Amino acid sequence: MTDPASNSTAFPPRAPVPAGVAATSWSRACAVWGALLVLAALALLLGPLVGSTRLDLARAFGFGVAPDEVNIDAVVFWSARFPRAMFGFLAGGSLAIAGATYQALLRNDLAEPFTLGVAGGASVGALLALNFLPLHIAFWVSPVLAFAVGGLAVAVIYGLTRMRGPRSAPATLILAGVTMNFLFGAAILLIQYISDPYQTMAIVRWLMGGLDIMSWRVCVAAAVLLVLAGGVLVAHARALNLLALGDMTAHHLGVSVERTRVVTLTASSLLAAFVVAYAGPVGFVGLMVPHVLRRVVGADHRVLLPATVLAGGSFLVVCDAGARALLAPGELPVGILTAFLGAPFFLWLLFRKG
Amino acid sequence: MPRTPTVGIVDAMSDALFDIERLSFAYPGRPPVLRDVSLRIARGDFIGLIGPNGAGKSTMLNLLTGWLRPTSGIVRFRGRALGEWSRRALAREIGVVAQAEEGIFPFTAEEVVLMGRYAHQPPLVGFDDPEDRAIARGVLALVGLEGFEQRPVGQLSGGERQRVFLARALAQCPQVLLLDEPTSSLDLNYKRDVFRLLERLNREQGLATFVVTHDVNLAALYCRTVIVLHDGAIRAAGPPDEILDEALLDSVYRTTVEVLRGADGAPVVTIRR
Repeated sequence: MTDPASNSTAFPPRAPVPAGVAATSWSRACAVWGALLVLAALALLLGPLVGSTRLDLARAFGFGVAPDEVNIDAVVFWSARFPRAMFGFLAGGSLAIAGATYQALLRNDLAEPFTLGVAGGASVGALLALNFLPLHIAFWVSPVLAFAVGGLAVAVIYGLTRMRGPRSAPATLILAGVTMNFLFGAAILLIQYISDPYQTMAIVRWLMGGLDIMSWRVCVAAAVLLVLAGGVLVAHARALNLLALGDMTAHHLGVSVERTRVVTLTASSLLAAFVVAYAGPVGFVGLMVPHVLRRVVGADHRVLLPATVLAGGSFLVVCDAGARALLAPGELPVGILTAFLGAPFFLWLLFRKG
Repeated sequence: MPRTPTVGIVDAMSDALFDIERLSFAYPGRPPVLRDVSLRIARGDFIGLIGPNGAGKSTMLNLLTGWLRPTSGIVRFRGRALGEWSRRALAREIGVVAQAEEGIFPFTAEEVVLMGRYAHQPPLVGFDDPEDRAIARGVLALVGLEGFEQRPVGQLSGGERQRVFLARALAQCPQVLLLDEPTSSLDLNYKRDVFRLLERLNREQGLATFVVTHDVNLAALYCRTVIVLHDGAIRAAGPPDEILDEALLDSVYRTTVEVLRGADGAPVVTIRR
C-alpha cells in the first residue's frame, strides 16, 4: 500500500495512465469493429459466389458485360444469392448478440437461444402460426407467436435461476433448458401429428434451419429489428458489464437491476424469436461467436456486442456457403451444419476445467 | 442500555448520512432477522458491526444498500428515504464491498475498477475518459495493486481480488463505505494494510466507514465505534474498550471468553480453553 504521508488532499487519488496501454476506448473499439466489418464485407461478397451455378463477381457488378447481353450473373447474384446472404448475416448477427446478452445476464457462457429453449419455444410459436393460420397472415404473425412462446421459456429459465439463488451451477441452467427443449419438442411432435403429411414434411424441413427466404421484405424487417433491439442492447452495454459481475454488485454500482434485466431480456428474445420464425432453430451461433470473441477482444460489452453482430453475421454467411458447397449441387440446411460444429464446442465448454 | 443508541463521534444533523429508524426485517414466512434496530451513521464515523453468525449482520448491510427492503421501519440517507433515491445517485454516495462476486468473464482489474465509475458517467453509450482511467489507476495503487491493471481478475488470488473490489468502491468517490467481511480471505499483513487504509481514509477524508466483520479483534483495533448485534437486535454500541467486556461477549457468543489488553490498550478477545 502507498505511504500514508503521500498526497492526502485529492480523493480519490489519480495516477498517470501510461501511453499505449490497451484500454477500452473508441480507437480500440473502432479497430476491432473495422476489422470485423472488412470480414463481413468479404463474407457478403464472396459467400454468394458459392453454389450450383458458377458466378463471376465482376460480371455481377456489371463489369465486362456487353450492352445487349443478358447478365445471368447479376440476376442470380442480386435476386437470389445476395438477399439470402444478407438475411444470413442479419440472422447470425441477431443470434450472436442475443447469445452474448443471455450469457451476461445469466452469468453463464453456456447460455444461448438454442440451449435455453428459447429457440424451441419460438419454433412452437412459429409453427402454430404457420400451420393454423392462412399463409399471408401467418407470414407476419409467426414472429409474434415465436416471441410469445420463446419469451415464456426465458421467463421460466430466469425464474428458476432466481429461485436457486446466485450460485446455482451452470449445468442446472442448461438442464432446465434441455427440459424446456423436451417440452417444446413434444409440442412440435403434437403439431406434426395433427398436420397433414405435406405440412409435416414442411415442418421437418423448417426445423433443420435454413436461410432460403429470398424475400427482401423479411430482410428489411430483420435489419430494422436488429438496429432497434441491437441498439437497445448496445446502449445497455455498460450496465451488462456490471450485471455480468453479479446482480448485487450491479445494484451497488448504480444499475437498476430489474429494469435493465427486463429491457435487455426482451430485446434479445425478440431478436432470437424473429430469426427462428423465418430461419428455423439455427443453433449454437450465439454460443460459439461470443465465446471466441471474448477471448480476442476482451469481455467489455461496449466493444463485444457490436462485434458479435459483425462476427456472428459473417459466421452464418460462411456456414451457409459451406453448407451449399458440401452437398453441391444440392444444399444442406445451415442449421444442421451449425449444430455439427456447435455441439462439440458446447461439450468442450461444459467439461473444461472448473 | 439505550433503546436507540446514537453512535458516532459527529452528531451534527448536517453530517448525518444514514438514519435508520426502528428497522425490522424478515424473509417471508420466517422469524424476523432484525427487530427494531435504530442507528445513525454520520460523516467521520468508523463503525464495526460484530456479532455471531446469523445475528443479522449481512442483512443489516443489505438493508443499507437498498438490496433488501425493510419489513417495517425506514432507512433514510441524507434525510430522504432510500427508495426516493435513484440507483445512480446513490452509487455516487455509497460504496459497497460485498462478500461474493460471481463474475465468469475475463475482465481485467482495471476494467473492474472502472465499473466503479458507472454512476459518474453518462448513462448510455460511451467509453471511460482519461479522468476515469486516472482514478482507476490511482485507487489500484492505493490498495497496493500497482502493475495489476491488465491482469484478468479471475487469475488473481482471493486477497488480490478483494482489494480490487475495495478499489472499485473507492473509485465511486463515496461519502460512506459499507463493507461486508472485507478481509475474510486476506492474510494478516493484508488485513492490517486494508484496515490501515480504511482508518487513514476515515481520518483524512472523513469517509464514513461501516464494516461488518466476524473478527472482533480487528474491529476493536480500528473501529471507533463497535455495535454488537445479537438475535436481530443491538445489544451494545460504543467505543470498543468500553463495551467489549467478558459478560457481554459470553452471553452473545454463548461461550467463555477472556478480554485481554493489547499493547496499545485495545481489547483483545480470546476464548478460554
